[in-house]
Amino acid sequence: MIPDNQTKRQHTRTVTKAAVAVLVLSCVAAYYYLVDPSGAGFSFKCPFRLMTGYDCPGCGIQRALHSLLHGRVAEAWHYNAFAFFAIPVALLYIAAEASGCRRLNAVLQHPVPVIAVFLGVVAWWIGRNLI
Amino acid sequence: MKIWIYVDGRQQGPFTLEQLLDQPVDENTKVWYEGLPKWYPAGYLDELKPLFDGSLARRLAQEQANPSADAAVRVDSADAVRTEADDEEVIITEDDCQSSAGYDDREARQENVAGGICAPAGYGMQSPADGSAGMTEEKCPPTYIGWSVFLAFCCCSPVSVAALAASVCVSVFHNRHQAARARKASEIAVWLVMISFALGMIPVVLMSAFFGE
Repeated sequence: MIPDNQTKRQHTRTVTKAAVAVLVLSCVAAYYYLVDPSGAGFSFKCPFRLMTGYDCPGCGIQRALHSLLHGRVAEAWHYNAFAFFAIPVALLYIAAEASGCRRLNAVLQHPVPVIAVFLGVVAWWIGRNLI
Repeated sequence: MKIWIYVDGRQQGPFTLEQLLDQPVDENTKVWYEGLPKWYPAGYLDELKPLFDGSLARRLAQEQANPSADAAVRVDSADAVRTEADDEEVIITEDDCQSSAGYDDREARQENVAGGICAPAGYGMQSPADGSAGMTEEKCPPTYIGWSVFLAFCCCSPVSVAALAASVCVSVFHNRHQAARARKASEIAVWLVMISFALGMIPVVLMSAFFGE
């Protein structure tokens, strides 16, 4: 009765979320496949870089995505190496939190991996501006 | 019987057994009522069996269909409970609170509630921070770390690093069983994520429009 209804509702919600996520991701992929951010024409600029002159953690990610979608992995790595780790990790965390799976979240939300991710991002941000 | 349930990361109640039919309770929901030493999954307790095998729902339906006959039955059972309560009260005076599971004397129970004699940690009257101590396993409030990292890379906003720090706080507080602080940090994290998104997206679009070629 009650548990069944609840499970069904949760299931529908999870499927809807997944469908929306796939739709959004494929739109983004299609855009960056077609548009070359380093080429002529309109492209999104990083306000942090425009104002301070320093790179933000995500600078180069548009060019990296464009290169990656065209199969040029080395070039993408050169534009933003850390994004290769950070974006899959971010998507994994978002998916785990959205799914509400207890066991998976217990592992992922443990302070050790969480602090590791935090330190990784900060170290990358500082490090890429020093080199 | 007053029953507290643990749903959506917080304690709710008290409910009667009948009221629980309208609550999102399943066999795995943690519940507590007076006499239990700690929180248990609802499916584990014999007293809550009628909730899950449909007998309570059937009885309520029957009561609705035939109220007069059932009223008489209820009076009978109330008397029975009263007698039982009188018997058990003797035991209570011997300071053995745990054995009071079945008794139903309202005044004595109120006293216990106020004094907190029988309540395990995690009792409904206590603050959420203390309340978490009695839970065997508590759900971690959302850390939003995925969004924080995502925004740090896609929104170019330093605020997302602050959001990331808040996510770390949620995880650390949860690990130390400081539920109230973890929840507070989780709220801050979600606000920082939203602010970071707004502060990131607006300049990205505006500056791209002005400086983009």
